[in-house]
Amino acid sequence: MTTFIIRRLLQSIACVILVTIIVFFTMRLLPGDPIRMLVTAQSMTIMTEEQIEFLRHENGLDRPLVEQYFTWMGGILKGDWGRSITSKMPIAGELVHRIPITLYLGLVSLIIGLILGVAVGVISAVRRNSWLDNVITVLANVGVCIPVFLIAVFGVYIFGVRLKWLPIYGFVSPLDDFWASTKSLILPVLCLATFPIAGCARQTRTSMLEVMNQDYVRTAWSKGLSERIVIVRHALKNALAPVMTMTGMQLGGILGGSVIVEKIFVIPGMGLMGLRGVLGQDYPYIQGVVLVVAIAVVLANLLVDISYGWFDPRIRVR
Amino acid sequence: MPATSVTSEKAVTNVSKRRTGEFRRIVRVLLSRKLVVFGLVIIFLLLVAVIFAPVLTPYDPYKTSLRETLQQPSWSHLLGTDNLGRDLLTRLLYGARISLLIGLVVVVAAAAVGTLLGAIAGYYERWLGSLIMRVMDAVMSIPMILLALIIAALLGGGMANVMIALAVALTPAYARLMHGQVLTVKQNDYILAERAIGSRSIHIMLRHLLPNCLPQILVVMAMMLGGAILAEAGLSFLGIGITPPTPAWGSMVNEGMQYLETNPLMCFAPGIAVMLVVFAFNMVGDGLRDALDPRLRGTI
Repeated sequence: MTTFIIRRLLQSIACVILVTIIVFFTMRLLPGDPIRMLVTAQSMTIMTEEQIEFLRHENGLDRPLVEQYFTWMGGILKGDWGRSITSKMPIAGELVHRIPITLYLGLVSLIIGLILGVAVGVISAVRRNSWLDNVITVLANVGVCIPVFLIAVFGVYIFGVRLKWLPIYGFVSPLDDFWASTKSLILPVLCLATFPIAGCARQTRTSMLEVMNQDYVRTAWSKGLSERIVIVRHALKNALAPVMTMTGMQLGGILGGSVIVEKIFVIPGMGLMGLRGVLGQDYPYIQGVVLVVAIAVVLANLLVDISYGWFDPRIRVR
Repeated sequence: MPATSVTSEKAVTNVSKRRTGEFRRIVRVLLSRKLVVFGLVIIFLLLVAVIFAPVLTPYDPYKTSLRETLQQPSWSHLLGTDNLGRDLLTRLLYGARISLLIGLVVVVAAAAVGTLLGAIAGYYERWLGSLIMRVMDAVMSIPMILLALIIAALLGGGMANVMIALAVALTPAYARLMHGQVLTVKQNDYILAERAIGSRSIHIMLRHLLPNCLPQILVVMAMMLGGAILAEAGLSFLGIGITPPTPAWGSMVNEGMQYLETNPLMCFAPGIAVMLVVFAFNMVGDGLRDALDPRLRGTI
């Protein structure tokens, strides 16, 4: 098991390094140009070519690509994530403030999605073909195709504009005022959690139905165990492995969705930072956000793989 | 030799009979599920909107009319008008073209490139295969919408660039699927036999590997069509995909946000349109998967 974990850890590190290479070089090979964006955005069109070249030189963008890459990577390892081309601010400092916000939002959504989704999926599978199962199945199928922005628009209209119960934008840190923070997060979490709830429900139902037909579940029934023990300890524990895989993958979806959600609700997290970087074609800014997101996603997949051993002892032996 | 020609004719009719029988079975399985039928109806309506948009509405999706801005629904404007006095329903109908076009092109392009990469990776298992798959893994660890945003922004927005961005973001999923399939199919004896008689790799790939994996790829294409449409709507909503005045559903929701209090339909109508179309393609994709290959249940 230890060798398995070490091998997967090394693979994960390799994967993250590959992400940095891909993003770094793809961005620079595509036609976009942060300096041009900067010049037009700040209406500095009167700048001469020499001045533009100076800006390029100042940001190190005139050096060979490979050299630029290693300078950036070397900085990352030393804790210097570079400076934004647009705002000149150090990126690491900004990330430190923004990562906790997005992570808090994302993890709350993911945990709610997992718990609610699994619960609903189990009910649906146990009461198969009942009206409750039908309602849950339809709702879960709808839930995986609602655009994030549509949930946001509905939520803002109903709870913000009509009922005036919830604030429609802004973010309050839970450390400052827990109640106000929770209130400001209900709508964003609703947007981000809908897909995980629906996705987990569908996956749980499918794999529960599969597991319920297995021999060991029949054995558990025939031993005369109570329904609760059979379902929770024998069926659910085994049915959860594919659900965990999906939940690991959903973290990426949530982090992607937080770009949209943070824009709508004006939450100063990493998603908004990524969007601003993309709009300004600000290379170091985008690199910083992508690196953090990729580490989070790869780490989630690693944890899922390791947790497999717990869910399914047959894997531990291998 | 009349005898052989008769038997071969018989064989041909048998094969075609089996084909139509199989086709009927698939249709029967599809139509037996209410949600799939609902999805098919939505797709039919979508196609009607795509083909007959100019006939269905007397208005122009681009022509602004400052005297008729922000009207509530009425008989002349069934869904009302937007902030520039354009008929909302008209823009919705024309928006169907953009959604469907982008969805189809993206899915076909991603499937073509992804399938090719996956097949090569599965066939040449050694360093080339593992290099391709490691790159695919890396690309997959960047959230799709973020990756598409970056590519679309650097390419400069617009319909073609959005298509490229989304196709790149969706490619790894096909590569992974095809890779897995090829590794399994390769184990079969007939591949070994082909190799033994000295067939060329390209021949084996096109004649044996691809046809064996085709059903799964078709199912995934159907299921991803919804995802592609959803992602395009997200990009356009963020202002990086299809930008106004082109009537893309995502950007229409974004434009409507400012008028949510007085004219919520400006947001709701295009948003619900996206949801219905994605729902329809997902349901038909699900149905197709169950009809073509029930073993895939839960894996795709």
